[in-house]
Amino acid sequence: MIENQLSNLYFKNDDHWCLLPEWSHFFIKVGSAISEAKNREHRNIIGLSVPSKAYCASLISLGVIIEKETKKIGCADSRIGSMLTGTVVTYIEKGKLRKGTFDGFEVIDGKQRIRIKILKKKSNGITMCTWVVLPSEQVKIAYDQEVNLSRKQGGSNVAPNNKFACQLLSVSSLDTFLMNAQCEIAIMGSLTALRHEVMLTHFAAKAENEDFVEGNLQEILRVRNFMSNPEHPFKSEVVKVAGNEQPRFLDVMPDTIIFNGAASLLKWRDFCRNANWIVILDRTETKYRDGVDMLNGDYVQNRTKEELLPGLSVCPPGVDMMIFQESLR
Amino acid sequence: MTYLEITDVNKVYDNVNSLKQADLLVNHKEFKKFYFELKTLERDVATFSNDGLWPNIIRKFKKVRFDFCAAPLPFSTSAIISQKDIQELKCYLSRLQISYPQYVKNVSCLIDKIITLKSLSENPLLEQIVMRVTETGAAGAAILLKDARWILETETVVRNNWALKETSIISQYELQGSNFYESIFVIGPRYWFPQYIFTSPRAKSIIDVRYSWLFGHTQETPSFISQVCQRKIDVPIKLPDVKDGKTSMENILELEESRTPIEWNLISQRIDKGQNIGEAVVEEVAARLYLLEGRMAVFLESEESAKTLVIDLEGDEDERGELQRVKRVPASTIEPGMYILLRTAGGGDYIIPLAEKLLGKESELIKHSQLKWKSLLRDYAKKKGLFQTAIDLLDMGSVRANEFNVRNWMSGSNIKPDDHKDFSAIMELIGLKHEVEDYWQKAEKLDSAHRKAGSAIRRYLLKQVLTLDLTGLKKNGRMDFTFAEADSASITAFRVIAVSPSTYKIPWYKHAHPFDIQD
Repeated sequence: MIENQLSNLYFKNDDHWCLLPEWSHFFIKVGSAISEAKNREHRNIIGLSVPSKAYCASLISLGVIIEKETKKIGCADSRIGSMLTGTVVTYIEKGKLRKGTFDGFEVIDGKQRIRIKILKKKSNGITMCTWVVLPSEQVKIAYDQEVNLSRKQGGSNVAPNNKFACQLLSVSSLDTFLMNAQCEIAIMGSLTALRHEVMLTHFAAKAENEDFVEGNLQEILRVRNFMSNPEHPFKSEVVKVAGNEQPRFLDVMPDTIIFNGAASLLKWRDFCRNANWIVILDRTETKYRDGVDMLNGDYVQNRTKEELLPGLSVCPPGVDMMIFQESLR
Repeated sequence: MTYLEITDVNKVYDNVNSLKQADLLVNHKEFKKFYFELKTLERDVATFSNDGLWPNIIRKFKKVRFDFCAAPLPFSTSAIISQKDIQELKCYLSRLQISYPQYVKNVSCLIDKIITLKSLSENPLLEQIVMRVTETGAAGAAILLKDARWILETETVVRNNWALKETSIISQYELQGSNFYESIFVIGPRYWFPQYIFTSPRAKSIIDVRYSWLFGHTQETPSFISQVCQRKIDVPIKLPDVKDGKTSMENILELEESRTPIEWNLISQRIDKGQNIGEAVVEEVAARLYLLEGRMAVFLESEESAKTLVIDLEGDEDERGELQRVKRVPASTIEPGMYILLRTAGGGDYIIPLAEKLLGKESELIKHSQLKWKSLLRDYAKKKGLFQTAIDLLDMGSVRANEFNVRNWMSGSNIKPDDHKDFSAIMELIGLKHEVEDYWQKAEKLDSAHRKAGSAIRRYLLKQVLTLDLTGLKKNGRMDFTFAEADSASITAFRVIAVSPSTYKIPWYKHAHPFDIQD
């Protein structure tokens, strides 16, 4: 399935649209392969030694998210089961973010649903209560629990620019994509470089009428750090290497962690030991050798299996790759 | 910060795919003789390395030999070897006559060879490049130098050569980003340079320009222990010139020997530890030695609390989305490739003169009171020991006294304890109990002035870093900033080349003073 997206992904070179080059397909496939290879007993570690880390993390993330979306692999926030009545939650209705409070669980057709209480202010000033019942994976615990819900909710548009994402994912609306949103991937590395790749680089997908539908990777990656509204659904987040604070994930810990450079691996390697790892080591970096030694050390000490992932048997020239598995702790 | 676009990354992968590597071997009879005679002398006197005389002589000769191999400059270049250098070498002859008469002839012969070379206007490395460029018409070429010190000098020489007018002179740090060239002439054997020059190439062809007797091949090892697919490693192997009755293996071994590690202990001895401040006991601090661009070095305190201003050209955004390019970081986090800011005119810490200016007339009085209580505390600690001093301070009401903190409080780089109770205990211990408030206020004023000065300098540097073209910093590895408000203080950003693995005890006032390691 990912092949369809790869053959329809373009980037802007001066004023021309060009198909993404072969090396970039490889990184998208790495993301796709790792999110496909879910295993309850092992985690996958992929080491990549590259001549330049530019665009590696963003393209791998694209592969992860497209694969998850294609397979509709979504699951509920693990904190939802222990929510107290009155917890402020968010959900998406017709592309808009709505808020309400958790009012209990219901079982419909044998499946657990969440009942949400919503306050609606009428034009005559009277506030009415209504309820919606939704599958748990479509409900998120709100970032801001102090919000005043008695005020009239306009509902903010969660994806004002989404044509490129719709075209690439071959969907007419992003509602399902956004309703199932959870943090799929965390990137440990520089925020500034990623902003350039995700927000400022022009990509396009070709429509059936041969028109190019332009957009940026943020429409699909939905990096939390680049969102103006913290309540909007996100699919990925960046943990900076600079600073001394330990990585803290706003949502649950994602399945896949990308270490974007040796510095981030050396700094945060003791965290997220239960997630899949993709380690990008740029040969021009000062700490490149230390990163390679660290990963080789992990291979020697912790490897329990050494299995290739489907579709990842060939690397582009200039890229070295190591794949192994470790037992989950 | 310059970001790589997709088209730039494309170029990198294209270069990886089709990179052409070649050797351009250069011969020079006179220099070759000098090179091997020095090798022989080095080997013969190796047993006398404990005598301070020989390391000094050999180092001077080796520096000349390295510079002739590393810089495409005429042998007559004064910056490589001056008349003064030759005189200094000649001065050793009289000392050798007494201690090692059997080697006087060898050393004298080497000096003569240097004098002969110095009289030559030939520039064999550059001449070979000119020939190659003229033959192939290579436009968009760059010459990569091992030592950034020679960039400006080489640029001047190259500008005068019509064939190389368009050629850039670069350092290895310029080949990490988005600078691309048609071909790169690497001056010196491959192993002098980091592997990424060849494995993340920023050119379609890389030509190794070196003297014919130098071994140029490097064994590139795979990155990972177990790789899914092996990278194509294709570097031409050319054995060095095997004349002069030497086997190629001997030459290779010589070259391997020449990959000598940095002589940290030797460099650390370059600072003058002899000075004392009056009769006061001079406090010593543990410091790490940093080798800087341009044959400079500096000691920086290794305590976690000691921070240094750095320029981070790849600086990330802070929480407000602002780029953090100038920041104060613990010295322990400083690594090769970073740029540290040090005061280079006026001596000492760049914050002090500005803080003194902010304090105005009170400055002298405050300085004196600080010196007085710290000196009395040091005297006490010297007499009783750090542990007992800490116990005594705790008995007098201190809340944070321990050996580490007492050492900090005595230090000239620390203004005062954070807690008033600790300060009161110190005052009582050194017999100044009745003047606690007066001393505390003065220390607070000094602290405040230092903070204001630090913040003013940081603001100024931030402005400079955001507005100035910093390509020169990346190319040459150093850049000067003059700061008019701080009495002609000049601050220089130096690229860090290497960090010493161990720490040294140095007088605290020698911390953050860059010094020349040239001689």
